[in-house]
Amino acid sequence: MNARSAGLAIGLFVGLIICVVFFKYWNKDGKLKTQYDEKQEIVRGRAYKYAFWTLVVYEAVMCILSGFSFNLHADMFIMHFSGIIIAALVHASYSVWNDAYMGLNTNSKRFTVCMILIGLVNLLSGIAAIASGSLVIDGVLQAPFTNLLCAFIFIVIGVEIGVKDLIDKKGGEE
Amino acid sequence: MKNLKLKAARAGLDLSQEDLAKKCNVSRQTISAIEKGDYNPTINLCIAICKTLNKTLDELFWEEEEA
Repeated sequence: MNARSAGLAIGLFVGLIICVVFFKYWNKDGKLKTQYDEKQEIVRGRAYKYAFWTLVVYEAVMCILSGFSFNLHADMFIMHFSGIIIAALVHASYSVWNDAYMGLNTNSKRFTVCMILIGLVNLLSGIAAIASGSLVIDGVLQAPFTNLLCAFIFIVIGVEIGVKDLIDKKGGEE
Repeated sequence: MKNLKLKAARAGLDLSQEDLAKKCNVSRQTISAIEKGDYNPTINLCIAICKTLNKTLDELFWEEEEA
């Protein structure tokens, strides 16, 4: 195992620990699992379906482009990670607009704070990569681009949650 | 089809959608969707709502046929 692989493994492990900490923090009952009601479960099932097909189409397009030797000027890691980000965005967006993103035991304020924090950390990492010149090497997008992708998805989801909240408050209880 | 009986029963006990949702362990939007007729709840949720509002299933969820 070389230094890069070891760094990746440790990074993944630390990332997993951070995810556990965040889940326990933003769930009111401190549980790892977020609870959804029956309607939310149905909506999330549809969201997973749409996300799955989005990822399948994305990967199919990547395969076709690869078959035509189309140079996308990006590291293979980024190409696959981008597909996952797009699929995750599809899932999250559908869930937000159909009131199935926030669980029954989610503390929305803590959740929003975490979203902003994660988005900012990734944005700063991305900006640092741009500043240091490690984002693009020999005309090829490198792994730090994933930080910018993560910042993008968290900001988009955050904005969607905010807009949906405003619409709900304006609509009021019917 | 809107469920006005549910809305009336809830209002009769001076409960908001949020209050009813918390008592039935669902989200406010789910109660709103049921009242608007946008979502058909499962029998378990119907029973939970009836127990909370002290009504029978017929009183809240039976659809009267139009004459």
